[in-house]
Amino acid sequence: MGEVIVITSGKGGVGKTTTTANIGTALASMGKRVVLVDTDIGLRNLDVVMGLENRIVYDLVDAANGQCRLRQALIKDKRFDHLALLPAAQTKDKTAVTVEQMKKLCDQLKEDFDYVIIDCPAGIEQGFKNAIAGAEKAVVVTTPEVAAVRDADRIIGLLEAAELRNPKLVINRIRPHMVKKGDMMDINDMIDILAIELLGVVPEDEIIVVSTNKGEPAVLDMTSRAGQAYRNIAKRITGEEVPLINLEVEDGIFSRMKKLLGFKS
Amino acid sequence: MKKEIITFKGSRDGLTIYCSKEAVWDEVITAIKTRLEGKKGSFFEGASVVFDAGTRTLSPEQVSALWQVFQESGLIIRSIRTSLGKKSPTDRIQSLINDANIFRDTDNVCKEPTLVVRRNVRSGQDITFAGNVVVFGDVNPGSKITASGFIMVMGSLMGTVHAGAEGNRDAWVGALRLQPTQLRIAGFITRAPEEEPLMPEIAQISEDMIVVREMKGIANKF
Repeated sequence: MGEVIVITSGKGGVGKTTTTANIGTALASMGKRVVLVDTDIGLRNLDVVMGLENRIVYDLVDAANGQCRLRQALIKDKRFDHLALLPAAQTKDKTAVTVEQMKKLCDQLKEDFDYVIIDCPAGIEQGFKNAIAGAEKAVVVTTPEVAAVRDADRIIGLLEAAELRNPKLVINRIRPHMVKKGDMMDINDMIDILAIELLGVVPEDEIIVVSTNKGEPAVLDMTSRAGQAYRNIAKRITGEEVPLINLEVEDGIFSRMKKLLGFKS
Repeated sequence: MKKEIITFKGSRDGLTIYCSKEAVWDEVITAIKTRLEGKKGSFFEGASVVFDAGTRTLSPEQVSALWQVFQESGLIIRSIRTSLGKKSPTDRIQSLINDANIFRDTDNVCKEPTLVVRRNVRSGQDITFAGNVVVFGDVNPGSKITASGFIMVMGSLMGTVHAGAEGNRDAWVGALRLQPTQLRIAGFITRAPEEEPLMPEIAQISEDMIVVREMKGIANKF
């Protein structure tokens, strides 16, 4: 029986799809059986980021409505046998599936995969409700910006109301030199407001731009610092304890973060 | 003629039990017990009565002894009355502090219903209450608390608050860290000052303006 994890944020453009693709690929590279589900119906992106857009025959809506078997809609990844993608439909919109259909799909996928990772669309409406329908755990992605934190707080409130307790936090696109100068939000301030457990911190990395365009997730590039951060996050998801990578910031913030995660600094 | 220690009297208001002025409390309790003994399942059972204690002031122990006796015989005390004024069972606190006159003064106690919120209030969550609101936690930006009374946040207040929402200009807003997105008291509205607060602060209306002060010695601010 696998775990169903939804990657959500509220705010658009903070890195949900990138996070889904990279965590999924990293877990698959560790030997886990992983399926990625794109629930952003009408504005699908996960297939592009995974480099699989040319292989789509059936999609989530087809599978939900019974026009094909679930197996037929799954696309095997180019690089890993046990990594699959369930793409969204591009020609419909988020009212094309119901919460019940999503729950049923997730229950089916759970049986064949160790991890079912759901890429949630931005917003709090039907798309969000569909995405969390079958989920047991949640990861909230945010960037170190006031607007993103505001939306993340809202989303956490909605997740708690939907009984998805203890969501974990991923802080994305952090620029350590800006934090040092005081131009960017401090990680501790964000955790104070959001009051959830930190899963990982991903630095701003130009390699991400290249990787999403090419369709080759950054975790496959050993020179990418964001890739390294995502690999660590994947390890933490499997229960391994991994220290935070040194992002060349003064010790203060990171030894405090290590303490937050329960490591000895 | 021997005066009865306790007498039952029926009236339009229902059944009242009077006790004689001269009798000592122990005698009163014994008399009640005797009268009601074996009366279970009889005439009085299930009846709700008013107990008139005359000019006595009952101590908490006396009140609970009385409750016990009545409970055992199936009677319900609707209220305990003294010539000092009618009191209901829920005003037992009142009889405790009756001697301390300062606590009778409505300036010093507030008996309005008060909602206690025991967690952080997140963005998008709205709380509206007819009474006072106390939050043990933070109030995040994007959330809203509306109260007819005062609002006290034992944490960081960063959302929007409206105290005295029904027009009470004496209402106030206090917080350990007062940095609201917007602060309203009755019909007045303001936003947080630019500087970060260094200590607990309270906002009140003074001369048609909302004024924010340190919350030291809060008692004197009322």
